[in-house]
Formats: sequence, structure tokens, C-alpha cells
Amino acid sequence: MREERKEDAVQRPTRRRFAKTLAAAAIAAPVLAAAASAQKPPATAEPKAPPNPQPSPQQPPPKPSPTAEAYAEVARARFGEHLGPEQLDAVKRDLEGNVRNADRLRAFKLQNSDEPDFVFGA
Amino acid sequence: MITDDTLFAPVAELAAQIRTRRVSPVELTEAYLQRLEKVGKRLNAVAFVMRETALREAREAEAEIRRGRYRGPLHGIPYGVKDLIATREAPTTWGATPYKDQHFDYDATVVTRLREAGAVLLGKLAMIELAGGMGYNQADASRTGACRTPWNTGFWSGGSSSGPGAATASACVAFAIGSETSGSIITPSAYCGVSGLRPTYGAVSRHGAMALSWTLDKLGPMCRSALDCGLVLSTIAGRDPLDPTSRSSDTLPRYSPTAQLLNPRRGARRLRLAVMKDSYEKAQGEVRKNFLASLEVLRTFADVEMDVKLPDFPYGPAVGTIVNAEGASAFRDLIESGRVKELASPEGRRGGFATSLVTAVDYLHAMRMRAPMRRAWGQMFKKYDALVAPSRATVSYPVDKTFDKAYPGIMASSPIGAANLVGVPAVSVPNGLGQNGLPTGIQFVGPAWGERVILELAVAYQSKTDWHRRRPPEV
Repeated sequence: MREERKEDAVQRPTRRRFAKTLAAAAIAAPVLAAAASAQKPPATAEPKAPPNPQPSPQQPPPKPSPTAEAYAEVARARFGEHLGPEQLDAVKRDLEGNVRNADRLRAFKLQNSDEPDFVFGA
Repeated sequence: MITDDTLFAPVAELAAQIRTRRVSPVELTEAYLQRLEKVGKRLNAVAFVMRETALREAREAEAEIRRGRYRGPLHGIPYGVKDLIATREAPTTWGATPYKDQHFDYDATVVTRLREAGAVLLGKLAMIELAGGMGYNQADASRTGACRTPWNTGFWSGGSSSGPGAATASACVAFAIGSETSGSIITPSAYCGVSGLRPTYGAVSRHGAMALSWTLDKLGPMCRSALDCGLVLSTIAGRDPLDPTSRSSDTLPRYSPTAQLLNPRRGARRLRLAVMKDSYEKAQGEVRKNFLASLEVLRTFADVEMDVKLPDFPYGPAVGTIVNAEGASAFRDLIESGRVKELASPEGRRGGFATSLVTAVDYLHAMRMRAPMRRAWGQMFKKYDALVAPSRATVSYPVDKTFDKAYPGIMASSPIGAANLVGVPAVSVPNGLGQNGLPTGIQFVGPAWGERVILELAVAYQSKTDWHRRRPPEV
């Protein structure tokens, strides 16, 4: 029963919200890095890919959102001694990537019973 | 006298020659060492050559075989490991300058298991720094410079298992061990024209391997045939008390000392293949052409259904968030000390500062999505035995351009990120040549613990084609 409810939760919202972006979702996987961002058409271009284990081609810099600007202030406070102005601008663009990733994750609705996929043992 | 034909032979053939004492492990090791020192270094595929210990292991193997104690198909076979795998006898630099003097006083479990099987470790192979975990956009994002594919040395060998790909393709080793968090075995296998297996998460112990993402990292073989991938997997797989995420499984392939599969799939049912929608239509022209030709070969022994959609999930943001958060944690000291500035890649020098700010809630959200993803993929694999797609949408990138400038406008989906998220295995095998004489590949993705079926498919494909037998011209 619980399984079925979860499956419903998985399928319905994702079909509604992500059908149009399925291809983009797959190629956006850090995987493709190269493929990923570089192979996406300009209309669906994402912010610069965050660091990832595959090559991560650059995209034209997106305009940072207010949230990314706020995170950039946190980055400046925490890591400013290691960052010049140009690097800080680049970090801001990376942070915009984090924000957009988070927006897309948030759009995927989870049930209270969906637990993180790792197990702690005592 | 060891000929090039011998050096380029697959493990299964080398093993038969060693077992019947037609080839000496010592002579074979010396020949591969010379090639690794000459060709391997020219390709930038080498991090450290372990000449003395390799020859010692080879002499031990030879003496043992002479005494009549043959351990199995890897006995006396020389190999290399990606430089993120700990070895007591050589430095382990993770491909990154901040760790150039790093030594471990133990061997990774995978090295121990290969030694117990009698394999001979030749050295540590080059890689993208920190397996690309801090980001990169260029082939020379490595302490050892841009690693080149032997098919055309103006082009990259792929990453992050760059050295394992190039060294295996150029016959500097008989096989290699690479690692994949999200594409790092499949990509260099495609760009170097070798056969590479990414095992199910947990099939191979990660003990002693650099951690980038604990819930995504896998170690796997890169070889000159799919059968070889099975032989190596059967040696390195299994539960390891030092890696609590590792497991044993009866479904993984097992082989006799003469490399015969001991536990073939039951029944003669034709396998059912799903061709992933959007994976080939807009790929590079030669990639698409070679892929469609491969499907014709597959149709001779399997049922092929075109344009099957993956279950709908935001795979990209999920895998990105998980790698970023786990990688930032794994390298927190490096990032916060500012020593990331010693990395080769401009993206790597700053990447950790943004990934350190991924929120715990976003990370957990991504982790909570993985169980429903796994269930949906489990449903998909009730209908199909394997998913098929081009290994990469393009051939390799030129070493003198940043990746974003290489092939603008090419767009195609890939199962790599999604399949890594759900932890399922895949094997990439060469299926032709594309632009600039560079290899293309096809990947078979199976259900969790489905290595036996995807290897069966890949072996059957290779029995009807000779792309895995082709040799690169520049070595």
C-alpha cells in the first residue's frame, strides 16, 4: 500500500512538471558535463554547471538571482580571503547553479515517509 | 620475444598462453613496462611506474605457475590502476598537486584481490584531478597534464579515468581499474575505444579508493574486450568488511580457470532491449550512424524497442547536488584552507566554494528521491533486460580547446547520470569510428546486479563485430 502511494507520488507530479524537461534533465546530469551544458540548446541553457565529476563546459553567465546574491555574500564572508573579485563573480554564477538545482529538486514532491537513501546502523 | 599481437591480445587470450606456458609472465611484464614507460608517458597516461615491484610479482607468478599452481585467468597478467587507488608501494596523488607526496601504508582491497589472483601491478595511471570533483572544462585538469587518446593524440582520452583508458587502448597494460562517480569509466572507454564496465554500486569494495561521493563512487575494469571485463569483475567483486556498502551476489558472472562462464543465464529467451529516447537522434552524425548500425547487429539476437523514455525525475539536479555536497565534505580541508588554488583547472580552483554552500535540506531532498527513482527503474527493467544508448553523444574533445568550444550545438540525452544515481551497472564497448578517426561507443545499462546480462549482450555484440580488435594508429 505504502509502495503504491509512493509510486503515485513519484509519477504524477513528475509527469506534469518534468515531461517537457526530461531530455534536459538527463543531459543536465553532471555526467555529461561536456555533453550536458554544451549540448543543450540555448533556449534551455542552464547556469554554469556546478563542479562535477565530468567535464563541465561553461555557459554564458546567467544573471544571479537575489538568492544567489545572498549566498555570494555568505561565500565572501566565509572564503573571501581566498577569492579575488573575478573568482567571486564566478562563484556567484556557480551559486546560481545551486539555486536552480534546488528549485528543480523542490518541485519534486516527496512524501513524509520518503527517507534518504542511506542507512545508519548502530 | 613478446610481439605487439601479444600485447594487444585480450586478457582471456593472454591467460591461455600463460597457463600453457607459451608466454612468460616476466617477459610479458617487461614488455608492458617498456611500453608504459615509452608510449604511456608520451600519452600522459602514467602517474607512477612500479617497475621493481611489478617484476617481483611477475617472477613470483611465473615460479608458481611453473610449480603447477595456476590461480586463474588473471595469474601473471599485468595491469594498472587509476591513481586514486591506494597502494603501499607507490604514491597515490589523486591526480592533484596538493596530494603529490601522498603515501598510504596499505593497499586498496581491489589491489589486494588482484594480487591474490596473481595479477601483476605495473603502476598508477593518470586521472583528472580529484576525479573532477571540483569541476573542470579542459583536458589538462590533471597534475600530469592532458592525457591523450592513442587514436589521435590531438584529442583527450576522456575522464576522469584518463590513464586507464589510454593505457589499455595503447596496450601499455593488459587491463586497468578505473572509477566512476558519474561517467568516469564510460566516457574514457568510449573516447579510447576500449570496453569498460561500471559495476552495480556496492559490487566492488571502495576501501582504499579516494572518496568523492560515498553514495555514487564505484570501481570497475577497463579492458580490451567485454569478456575481459567479466573476468576482472569476478575477481574484484564481493563483500569486504572494510567497505560496509559492499555486497556479494550470486548473480554476478563467475568463470573457470580457463575463462569459461560458470553461471550462464538460464533459458534461451531472446533478450529485450530498450533504446533510450533522445539519446541518439541529435548526437554527432557519426555517433548516430554507428549506433544505428549497432542496433542492426543487436537485432540478430535480441528484440529491440525504439525510443523508450526513462522514468521522469530531475536526475541532473539530484546527481549534481549529491556530488557537490559529498565532494565538498570529502575535500572540506582542501577547500577551506585555500589549497584548491594549487589545482590545475580554473574551475577546480574555485568550484568548492560554491559547492560548500549546498544546503543540508537540498542534499537530503536529493537523497530522498533515490528510493522512488530506484523503484521506477526496477519497474522499467521488468519489461526490458537492458537499456541501450550511445556511450557519448560526440567523439572526444580536442586537447587545445575548452570543452564548451568543441562541439557547440550537439544535443542528446544520456543515461549516465540517472543510472549512476540508481546505482545500476553499464558496459561501454566500441562500435565504430567518427570524426578525426576517433572511436565511438555503445553502452548497455542493466538492472542492479545485472552485470551477467549486459556482459552477455556486449560479448555477443563483440562476437559479431571487430571494433574491439582494432588498434589505434598512433602507438
